[in-house]
Amino acid sequence: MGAIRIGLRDVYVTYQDAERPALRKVNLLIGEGKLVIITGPNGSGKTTLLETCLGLLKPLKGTVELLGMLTTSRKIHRARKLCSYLPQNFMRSPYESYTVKQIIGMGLLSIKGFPSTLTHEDLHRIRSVAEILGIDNLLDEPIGKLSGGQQQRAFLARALVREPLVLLLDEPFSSIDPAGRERIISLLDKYARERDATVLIVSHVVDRELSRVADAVVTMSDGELVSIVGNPY
Amino acid sequence: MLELVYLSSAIGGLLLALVGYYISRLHLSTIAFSAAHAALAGAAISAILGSDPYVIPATLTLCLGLVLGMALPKANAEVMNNLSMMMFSMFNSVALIGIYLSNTVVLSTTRVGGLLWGSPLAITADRFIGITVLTGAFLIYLMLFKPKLDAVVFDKKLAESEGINVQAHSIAIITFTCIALVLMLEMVGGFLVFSLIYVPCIVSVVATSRADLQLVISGLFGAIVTPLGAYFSLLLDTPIGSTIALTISLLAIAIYLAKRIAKTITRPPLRAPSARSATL
Repeated sequence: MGAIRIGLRDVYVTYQDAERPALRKVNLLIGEGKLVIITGPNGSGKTTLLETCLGLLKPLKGTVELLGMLTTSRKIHRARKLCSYLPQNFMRSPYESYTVKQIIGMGLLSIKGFPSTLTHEDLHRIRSVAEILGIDNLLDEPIGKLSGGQQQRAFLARALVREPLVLLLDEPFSSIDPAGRERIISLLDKYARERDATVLIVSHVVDRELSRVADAVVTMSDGELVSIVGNPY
Repeated sequence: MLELVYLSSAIGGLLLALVGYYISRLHLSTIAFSAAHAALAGAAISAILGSDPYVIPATLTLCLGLVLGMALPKANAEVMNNLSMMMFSMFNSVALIGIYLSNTVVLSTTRVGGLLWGSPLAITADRFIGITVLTGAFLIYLMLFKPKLDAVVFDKKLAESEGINVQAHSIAIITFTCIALVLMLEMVGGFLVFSLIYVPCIVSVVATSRADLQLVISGLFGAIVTPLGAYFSLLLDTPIGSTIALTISLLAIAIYLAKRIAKTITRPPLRAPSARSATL
């Protein structure tokens, strides 16, 4: 059993003015090198759980630890620098002016100190990740001009280029074609195994390919964890 | 004297255009708008009291900017916008009541004229130094944090998830804006100073779709067109603030129209399908 990377203990999360908590009595420990799938119907609290793990949402009750640090700590940004997040709503307007290279670069620059500029080595890293995800020919294109699938790959590249210890992905295959989906699942599996990274994937569809690589599948319903199949830690 | 007016308007125009680019891209416009009018109300109060021209406006605008900036992450965006606009009306009312309560002698002074429509006489050596120092401080801030600011501009939530302190950067931008507004207020006038914040950003977005060039274009536009407006004002003997605001707005419209015309001319004509492809 490895170190715990994410720990939720008796967690309740409520949105402002909501009648019911979005998360109720959630207990979940996720260890290093584990690939865990969070599944469940729409509105079951999957995205809320992911954002709670990162400390973007604070628990009303209970504690949430990310890389050994409470997410309510003022220094949580230090732990976040070792994490990457792929949001569910990634689509940009056609007028968005940042290029794919700039967007992937932002992921790298946010973890760098001063001087905060991209080196030759960083550019090489950006190119390699883009190549793996099949978007190396789009690096100089403004992201707003790309299709949904291409944009999603660019966001995934931004998440991976940081080489995070914890990777949190919210519906990462929603706009990607079946062949691409299979390749990305293998890539994430390899990333988790080779680097002992924790990968948390929210997906409302858990097919054979995804089940094959998962260490655990957590099912949610109505803000609660209803089942954990496998060993997440 | 004239050199001081042109230099101050160039440096002040550059500063307001640069902070304005981030204010606009970070969707902080309504906060900056109400902060600008808090500075106006503060200046009106200090004119009546005959106190230092900076202390009350700076205190009022900074307090408002910081309170709204700190409330920003927790508040609903719509509530925040409405609250900022309510503050705008409230501070406008305070400014107008303050000016109304002043006697006619006070009303005819440069000071009150500066508050309403701007005055080149408001540019003094200490104000010029203040604008220059603040511009230098903002450029250093940009050199250190521009990549992180870009990440925040692109996606606040994603930037926060990657360990960037989004609130600290938002508050820093609001603070720079508030101080810049206080320093430029009496030159351009309380009702029009805000145009120096948002018009250059609009021009930059119209001029190019490249994010790395937009900030440069915004800054250049502010630095060149603000003294140009000041020049027209002195040439035509019109109020300086109104002339600057009119100049930058007319130039912005001209750039937009030129871009549309250029696009129409360079667009390749649509071809009708050939008879062969139609039958296929």
